[in-house]
Amino acid sequence: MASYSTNEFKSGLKVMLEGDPCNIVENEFVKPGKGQAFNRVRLKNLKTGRVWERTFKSGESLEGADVMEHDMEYLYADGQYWHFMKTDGSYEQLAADQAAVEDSIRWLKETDKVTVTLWDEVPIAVAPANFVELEVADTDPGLKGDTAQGGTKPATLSTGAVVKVPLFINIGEVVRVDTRTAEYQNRVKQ
Amino acid sequence: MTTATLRLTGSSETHLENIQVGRQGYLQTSPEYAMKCLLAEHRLSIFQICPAYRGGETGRRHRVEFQMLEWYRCDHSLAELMDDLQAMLNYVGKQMGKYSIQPITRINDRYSYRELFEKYLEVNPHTLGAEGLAGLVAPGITAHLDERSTLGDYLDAVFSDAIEPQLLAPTIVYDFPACQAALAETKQLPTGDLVSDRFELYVGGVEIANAYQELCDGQELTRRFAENNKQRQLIGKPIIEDDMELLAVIDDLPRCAGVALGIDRLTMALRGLEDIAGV
Repeated sequence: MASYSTNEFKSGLKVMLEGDPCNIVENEFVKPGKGQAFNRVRLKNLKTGRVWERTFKSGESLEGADVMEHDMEYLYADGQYWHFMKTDGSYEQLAADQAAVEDSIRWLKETDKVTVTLWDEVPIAVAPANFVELEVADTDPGLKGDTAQGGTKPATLSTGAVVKVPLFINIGEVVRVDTRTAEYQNRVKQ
Repeated sequence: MTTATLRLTGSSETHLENIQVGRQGYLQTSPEYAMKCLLAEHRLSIFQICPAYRGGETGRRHRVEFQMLEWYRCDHSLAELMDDLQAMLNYVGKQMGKYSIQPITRINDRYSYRELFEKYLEVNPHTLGAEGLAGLVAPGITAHLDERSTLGDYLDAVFSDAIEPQLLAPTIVYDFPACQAALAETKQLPTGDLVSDRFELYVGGVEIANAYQELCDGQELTRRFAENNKQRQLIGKPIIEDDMELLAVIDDLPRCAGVALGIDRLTMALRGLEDIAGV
C-alpha cells in the first residue's frame, strides 16, 4: 500500500493510524506566524467509528489503508456471524463478526440493503441505509383519535431497536425510521 | 517605493522555507530586510505592497505567493501603529462598503498574550513551560511535537487550538513571549514577564497583520541569527548565511515600528471567504 505525505492528505483518504484503518474527515494546513507548520487532521477510526483530532508535522506520512465500501444485501445471522451478499451481480457472500455489525445490529432486517466497509477484504463496519422500514413488535396499545397531540411512547421494532413513536402506532404496523438519529419519521401504509 | 523581491541571502527564520532561484538568490519571504536597509539610509517612514514567497505553505489560509502590505513609522511606537491599522481598516471597510461587502467593525478588543491565556485557559503562558502547556490541550493537539520542539512550538500549538478560533471580532494581541521575538525588541514587564514588543491583528480567527517595535541592535541580531540556525540544524533544515547587508546597517536603524499585513487574508475577512483560493 502506498504511503501519503501530509501534503497529500484530503478528506476521504483512507490511512492507517495506530494499527487501525481511518478515514480523513478534515485536513487543515496550519502555520502559526513564526511557528512550525503542521496539519490538523480529523480522522474517523473505521473500526470503532470514533472521530479524533490529531496534528501531524508537515512532511510526516501515513500508510494508506486498503479500505473499500460495498453495497450489499443482508442475508441472515447464524448466531456467530452475520452474512451479506454483494449486489454488484457477483453474488459473492461475506461473513461479518459481532464487532463489525455492533453499531448497526438493531437496524438489520433480512434482504435490506446496507453498506459494508472492508479492510483488507474483511468486513469491519456495516452501515444501514439512512432510512429503514420496520414492523412494530411491541408497544403500549394505541389511543384512538390521538393523532395530533405529539405525545410519544417507546416501541420495540422487529429488529430489537427501541424508538419513540406517536401514541397512535400499534403493534404490527410498519414505521419508517432515520437510522442516524433513531428517530421515527412516519407510518408506512401496507 | 519598491525593493527587489530577489535577495542574495534568504531568511534564517527557523520555520520559513526559502525558495531559491538557481544561483541568483532567494525570493523574499517578506520585504523586511530590504526595507530596513532603506530605512537606515533615509530615516523616513515608508510602505510598499509586494509579493512574498514561502515554500511549502499551501492550505485554506496559505499560499506560496501572497501579497503583503508592509509599512514602517520612524519615531513611532506600536500604539501608533495600532491606530494606523484602525484607520486603514476604516478606510478599506468604507471603500468595500461601496461594493456591498461586509466592512470590518472597529478593533475593540486589545489583549496581551498573557490575558488571553488567563481568559481562556486560566494560566500564565510565560511561566508554564512546555509540559504544562501540553497538558492544557488534548494529546492529539501536540502529536506533531517531539523532543526537538521548542517552547515556542508548544505555545503555538496551544494558542492556535484553544485561543485563535475565539478571536473572531477584530482583535489585537500584544506582548508575545520573548522566545517569539523574531526581529522585535524584547522588554521586561512590571509583572516580571519577559516579552517581545510586538502585536498581531486577528480577524475571524485568522492572523491578518504582524507588527514589531523593531530591533536596532547588531549584536543582538547576530545572536538571533545564530539561534535560528542552531534550531534549523537540529531539525534538519538548511543553514542560512547571516544577511550581511542588514547586519551592516542595523545599528543605524532609527527607532521605528513596522507592520506587515496579508492583503489576501484581509480580503478573505472582508468578503467572508473560507478559502484563500477564492481571493
